[in-house]
Amino acid sequence: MKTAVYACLALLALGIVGQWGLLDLVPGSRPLGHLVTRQQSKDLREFYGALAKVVGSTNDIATTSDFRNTQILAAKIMQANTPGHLVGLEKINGPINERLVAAIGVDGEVPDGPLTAEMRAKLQKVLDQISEDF
Amino acid sequence: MNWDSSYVFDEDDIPAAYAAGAEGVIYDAAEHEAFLGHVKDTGNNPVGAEVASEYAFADESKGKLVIPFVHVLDKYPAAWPGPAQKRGDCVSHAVSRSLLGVVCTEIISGIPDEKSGKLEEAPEVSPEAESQAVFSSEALYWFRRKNSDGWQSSSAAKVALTKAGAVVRKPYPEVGLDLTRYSAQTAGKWGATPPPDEVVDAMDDHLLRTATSLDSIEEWRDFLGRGFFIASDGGEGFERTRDENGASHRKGSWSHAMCVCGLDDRPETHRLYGCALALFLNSWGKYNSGPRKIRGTDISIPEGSFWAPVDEFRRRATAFSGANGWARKSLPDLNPGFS
Repeated sequence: MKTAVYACLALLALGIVGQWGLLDLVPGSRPLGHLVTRQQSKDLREFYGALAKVVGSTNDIATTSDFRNTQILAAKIMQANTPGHLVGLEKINGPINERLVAAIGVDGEVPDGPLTAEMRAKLQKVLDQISEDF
Repeated sequence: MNWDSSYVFDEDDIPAAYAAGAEGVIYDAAEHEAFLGHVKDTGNNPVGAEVASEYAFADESKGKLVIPFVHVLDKYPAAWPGPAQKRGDCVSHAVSRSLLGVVCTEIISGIPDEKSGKLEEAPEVSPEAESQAVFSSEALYWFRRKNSDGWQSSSAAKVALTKAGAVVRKPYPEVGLDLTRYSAQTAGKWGATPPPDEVVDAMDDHLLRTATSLDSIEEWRDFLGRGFFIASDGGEGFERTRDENGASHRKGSWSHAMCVCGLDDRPETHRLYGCALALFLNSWGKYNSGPRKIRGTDISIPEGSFWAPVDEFRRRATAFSGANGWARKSLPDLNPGFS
């Protein structure tokens, strides 16, 4: 796993924190946005947009396992840096997992192996879509 | 003449032994019928022409170059020609190489296993095991039910369906065996007395699903086109040199089994040789010489192999399909883990 990836996502997370003012606790209206507050929705939109760009780098994420670990660690970093703000997000785990597995899985399973060019393109597309849906 | 089964040959002496009449292939009609019966009893059809028709791939590869061996070299570049046999166990070498072909082709196809529904992957093996053709020939040979050498491919196929299928070359400490490197002595460890149950248990995790008896070259072509590798038994010998297209003509006699891993049915090949060419992978190591590039391509045939004009031989053949392979490892989920 490349330190640069985490650093990039950590900076993004810190950037998100810096933008926060008062919490907007009203849920959003988009397919995923309605599960979280509008402010959380805005931050998650940025987060998944950035993750889509990171996935585009073949040097940083070479395997499906790399992607899985990167997403988990980046999510942890973001939440750790926004105590009291980006909380209560368990409800989005399932829908995001379903979309990602549907994009690059086969019969509901994601092979533990190299991220092929085709899989990478599908993954970028679904991450961009997740971003848009927050 | 037949083999002195207590004697381990030097690999360089093996071609001479075959040329002198040592029998690696011994046809047994009753055993062949037992194989056909077993395939039927398990709900499959052992008749190649009927299978090709039933699954609508008859003539599918007519006029084409079919070279499924590339799938093996894609997964295991150093696997072939594999070890040179050192006793009269050519049948088990031909069948184990065919099993490797079937397993690799199934993985490359990316289609989930028909029984388990799981995607499959190539088993991880050591570099040494890869150089030894990945799968053990010895494990098949233990079930020939005699101590002497000489067997037939359909009988070995029945073993691959029931006792020992694709057995990875590695140590098996639980049964005190190391199959990493081919050993003629290990091949002779059991025979008239079959291996004990614990050895069978260690060898039967990746059995073959079915096998088919082939009668015509057209069947060879169409089965190879579908990635079903072939073990062939026959009496023809061939030159030890390849021509500019990698072909060797018939010369002398060998009672010998070999894996068939390709067929060239292109019209230009018919014009050049008067018939199609079949690609034989021998189990004598790098014993032959000459160009290996496939005409009109940048692909080379494996060391130890040669193209033979199909009009120059008449061989019994068994095609293998549907191995119970190695389930591909999957990730538990892609859950981001937000809390």
